[in-house]
Amino acid sequence: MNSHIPNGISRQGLDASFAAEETRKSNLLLQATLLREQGREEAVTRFAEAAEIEEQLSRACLERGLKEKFLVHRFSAASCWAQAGNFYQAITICEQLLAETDLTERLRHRVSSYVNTLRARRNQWFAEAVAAQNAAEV
Amino acid sequence: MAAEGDRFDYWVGSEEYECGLEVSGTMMVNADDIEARHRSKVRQLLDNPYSVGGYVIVVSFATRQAIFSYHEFAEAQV
Repeated sequence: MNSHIPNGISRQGLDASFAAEETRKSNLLLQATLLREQGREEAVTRFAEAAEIEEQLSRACLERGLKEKFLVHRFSAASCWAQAGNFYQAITICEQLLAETDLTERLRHRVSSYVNTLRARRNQWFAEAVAAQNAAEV
Repeated sequence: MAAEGDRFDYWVGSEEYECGLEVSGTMMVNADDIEARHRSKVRQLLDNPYSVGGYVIVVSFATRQAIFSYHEFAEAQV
């Protein structure tokens, strides 16, 4: 991780178009959070749009050799997918992150903890779906 | 805006580097309580998974006071 400095991560070489996409993603996340608090379904779409942008941003960082910023956007993409209800995509991204050999122990622990939480939520959803199916068949 | 689990609210910085920003508002009036909230938010920010430092601001809307500080990350602090 040659871009690391003690108290910040590097964004050197990123241009205005990258910053504009970061702003668009942040606005989507703010809107999604507000819509979710209001119980409105549009929140899901906003989280999914933010997730796609985060994936694009992470790829751009990787192409520029900004490994730490790549990890930030990649993990954020997983979080956005999870909040959009797409556990499969979120868990897949987390598993890809855990396969990275140069993750710090702190980040590895955080990703590992998060993916376990996602699996628990998914299993709960499975159990509820099975129970609902069984109830419908009785 | 930071992601769920980043342990702070926003990524901020310059064109070269970025760090965390945690923002907290309260209606507390007791100075000791506000300082305790600030210490708690500092611990939270420094618990981020990216080992970055950052800014913490705690605002008391009741007393119109704010504590604003910057904290460097150090593994031993957390």
